[in-house]
Amino acid sequence: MLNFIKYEWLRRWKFFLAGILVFVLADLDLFSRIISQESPNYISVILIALVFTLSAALVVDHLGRLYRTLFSDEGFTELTLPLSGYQLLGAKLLAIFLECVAVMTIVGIVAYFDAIYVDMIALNWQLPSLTWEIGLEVLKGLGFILGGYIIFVLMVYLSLALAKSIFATFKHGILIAFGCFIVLAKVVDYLGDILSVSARYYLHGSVAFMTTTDWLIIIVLIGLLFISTGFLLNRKMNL
Amino acid sequence: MDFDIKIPIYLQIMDRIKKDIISGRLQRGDKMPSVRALASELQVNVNTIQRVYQELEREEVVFTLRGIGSFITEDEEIVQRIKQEMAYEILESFVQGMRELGYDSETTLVALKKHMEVKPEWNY
Amino acid sequence: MELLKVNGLTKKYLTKTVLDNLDFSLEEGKIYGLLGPNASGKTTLMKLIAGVTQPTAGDIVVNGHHIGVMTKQVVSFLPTTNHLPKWMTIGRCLSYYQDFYRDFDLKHATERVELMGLNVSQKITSLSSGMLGRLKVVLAMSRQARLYLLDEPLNGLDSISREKVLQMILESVREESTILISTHIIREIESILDKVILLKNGQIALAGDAEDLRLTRKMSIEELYKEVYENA
Repeated sequence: MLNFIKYEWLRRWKFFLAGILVFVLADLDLFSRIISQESPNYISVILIALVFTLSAALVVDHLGRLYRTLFSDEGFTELTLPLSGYQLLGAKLLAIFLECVAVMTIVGIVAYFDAIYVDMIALNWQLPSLTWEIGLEVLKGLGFILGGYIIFVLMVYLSLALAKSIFATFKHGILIAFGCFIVLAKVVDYLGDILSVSARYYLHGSVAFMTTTDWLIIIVLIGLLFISTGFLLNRKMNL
Repeated sequence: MDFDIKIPIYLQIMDRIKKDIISGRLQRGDKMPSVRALASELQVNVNTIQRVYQELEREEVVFTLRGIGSFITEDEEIVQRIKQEMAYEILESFVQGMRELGYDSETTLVALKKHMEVKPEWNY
Repeated sequence: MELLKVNGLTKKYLTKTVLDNLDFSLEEGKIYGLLGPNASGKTTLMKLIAGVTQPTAGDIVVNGHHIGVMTKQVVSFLPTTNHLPKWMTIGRCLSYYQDFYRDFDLKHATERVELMGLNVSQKITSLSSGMLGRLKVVLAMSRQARLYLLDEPLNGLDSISREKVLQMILESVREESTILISTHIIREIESILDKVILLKNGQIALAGDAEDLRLTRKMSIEELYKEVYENA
């Protein structure tokens, strides 16, 4: 499994490096312009556009990782490795999860240095001091976003897996995958509605707080999606 | 070695080995190459060579000492026997061919004799 | 010893039956030719044994296990298509195989890469179809697998490459391993086959020992093949 992650990253390290570089450059550029009160020029625009493009590319790449396995000839390599479908999916998801954590950490570090710099030149920005409570809230927020993202990725993966297993005899696999995704989105939405929203309102009367139930729902959803996708990858693929 | 793919390959290899024994290229008591070595030399499957050795052993042309290898028979009688067998086969196909051309036993013999005396001039 | 056993294997697509209730087994230590024209079910059968496609009915047992991780450890599959990750170099491919397959012989594979006129620093995308064909055979045959599934290994190769590839296949026959080669080009390959299985419309039209067939039918496997498929 770790070997699998190794090759996922060997394939992309240049892309990651470029992304980080562009992000840091964009941050430096913007920040120096704010300090010196210059208006951003075309370089800033290009840098920011690049940051957005690369982030979008990362998302597309995350979704494409299973697409490439199931819809291209490379699948004959990956699906004949002595790994179970669960291991394969687990490795892919773990890689994606770690990449997201890495992106968040890098953004966090850059933001932290920005804040220190602001403090140093005393622009009269009132920085709230970092307490455990705030830290925990931030972590919770990030965890929620990450959980949501993983669910989204898994929904796409399950749709792709369905298109290449149960619906494999039909042509236009990608259209079928899209159809599966729409149905899945409805189901997940519905589940979220009946389970989460009611629970949240009952317990807190507010949507601002994540309850234990909410976390549980995220975990259960990830679990269900993982098991069903892994099961299909393990025993039901028709390449 | 080029094979005629219409004929079982093991038979062709057996024939070649027998010819080599009769012609003296392979001497009595000589050690035969290993199955793998011969397979790789002739570019055929090891199982084919295994079959060749089995058949040769059955015909007592070759004998195997466990763990040492296969050897060509020491028995002159057997060498003579395979020589006769091969001669018989050649003669059979020769006679068969002559029959098809309309020669009977007598005319075949005359033609053969003439051929042996005079070098081929194709005017029998 | 029986290495692979196939029972009542059927594969249907929407309207088409590709494999129809196949029963056969493969012995250890033998080279099998899986022969048949295009669309006779050869590739589907290979993919089923490799575990990348699932049967509609019936089952496959390799080395005592149903298709799964256990069989993938001992089955070396060479598909017809270019299945190697496009971003890799040949050297990266070798280490990929080394990392995932315990039975991969890196040293031997590296030597063979050179023998085949390839270079470890070449990128997969820069290879011609002939070079790719040779590389695929090197990768597949450098595993000490129990069952090799070679789907059209001679396709797209020139005659010199074909000879080298056949030589490499021959070198790899071991007592405990079985090689299943699918092909519709029979002349070059028939002298290395122990047994042949002729597929026709998803069924076995003829199966047997290659030498015995030559002896009893008095013709080459290629001629036999023509006879079987011309009377279709």
